[in-house]
Amino acid sequence: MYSLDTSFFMDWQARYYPLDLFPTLERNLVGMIGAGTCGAVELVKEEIDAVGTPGLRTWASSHSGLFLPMTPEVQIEAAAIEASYPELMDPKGLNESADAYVIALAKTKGWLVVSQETSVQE
Amino acid sequence: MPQPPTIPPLATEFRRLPGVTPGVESPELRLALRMMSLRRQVMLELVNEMDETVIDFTAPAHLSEAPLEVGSRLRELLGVSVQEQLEWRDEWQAWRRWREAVESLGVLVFQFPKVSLDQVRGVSLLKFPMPAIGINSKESAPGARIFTLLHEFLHIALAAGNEEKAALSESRNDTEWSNVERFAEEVASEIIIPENVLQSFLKRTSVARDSWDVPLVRSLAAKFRVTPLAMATRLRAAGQLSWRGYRDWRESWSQYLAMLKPAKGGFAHPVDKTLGRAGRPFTQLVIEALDGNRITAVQACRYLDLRFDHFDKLRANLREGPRAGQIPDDGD
Repeated sequence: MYSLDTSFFMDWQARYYPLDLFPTLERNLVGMIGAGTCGAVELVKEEIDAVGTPGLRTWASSHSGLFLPMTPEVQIEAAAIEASYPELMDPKGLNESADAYVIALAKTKGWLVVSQETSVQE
Repeated sequence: MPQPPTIPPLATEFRRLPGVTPGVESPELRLALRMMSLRRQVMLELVNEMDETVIDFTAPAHLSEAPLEVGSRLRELLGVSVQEQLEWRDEWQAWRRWREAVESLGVLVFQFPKVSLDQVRGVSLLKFPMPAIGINSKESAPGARIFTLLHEFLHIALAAGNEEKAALSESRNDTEWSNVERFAEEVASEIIIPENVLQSFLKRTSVARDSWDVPLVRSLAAKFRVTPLAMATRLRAAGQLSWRGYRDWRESWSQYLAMLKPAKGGFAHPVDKTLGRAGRPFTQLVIEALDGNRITAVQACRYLDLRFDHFDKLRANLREGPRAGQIPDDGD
């Protein structure tokens, strides 16, 4: 029951817990994908393709069931989130951030967001 | 969102550019300007987040001053000694050192690709603190990049002295603006080739006025790590070439260039492109912010325009400095 952010995948596979050293972690996550208890919006896949390591990009492509379409419900929710929290969007930014959609997916499904983002205080 | 977010026009940030009408820049130039503006904004945010200190730019220049005087003062501030300059092994080392010197005074230096040279060679964002200079990386000769860098540096100094405004607010006519550009060129020239040093070199040569041919100018230019064209311009200003002699020399120079084989191509590594375009201070701060968990890996990749699998190499380059023989970014 988790909406996974791009930073989750980057920290997992590209930074801290590579697949060859932590096979159980991957096995458990693949189990969760099969059980439908976690997912990520399609924008996350786009971000992985744009910035991810070759290994992560290949892994993401071979687990396409993980990525969920941006349904009208998710898009409406994301728009409401962006309207309430405009700082989530950078009007000068050159790429669309998936943040609001990751939260919207969690909100519409009653899931939790898994992200590396931390508050400044932390 | 109920309505599109409002952002100020780009022309409220960048300096007036000859031949560029504010608001109708080419798409390539607009993208380059937006990237510069975004990086500057990110830099300010990260400096704040990381409790770093912003270096205030404190080197104003005024059009009422003599170009030699301004050039001499700015060179002193930049901290590049003549002895150091004469010992540089090549023009790329010279380019890196001049860039570092400008960055040390609180100016961000970026490079931008994909914009044709006939549109723009360099541009500045006249925003303080942390004004930014962008150099067109299609400029293949490092000596030409150096001249453009210092020309833009002077525009920032003029803005700091309230002599120049961003493109949208700049109201001088074309003739008046040409005078500003000429002032910037003379100062840039003096920074790179100080008058007293040039005169000491000239005393040791026995070249008569207007007798400077292409090999002689190339030889002198190589000593200062500047382009022969910049050196010829400097010699004209120093009275070694008359206007007629200067035009004749340029004609010879054009013929010489036409005879040269095209430069060998190559592909710059993505890490070299990132360091060239974003600059070391920006890149270093993004990496530190990532390591301190102040930003995500995705943000770091976006800010540096680099895939994560290149980050180990990037870190090594930041630690060890540029490698010999690396292929520079050619702006494509």
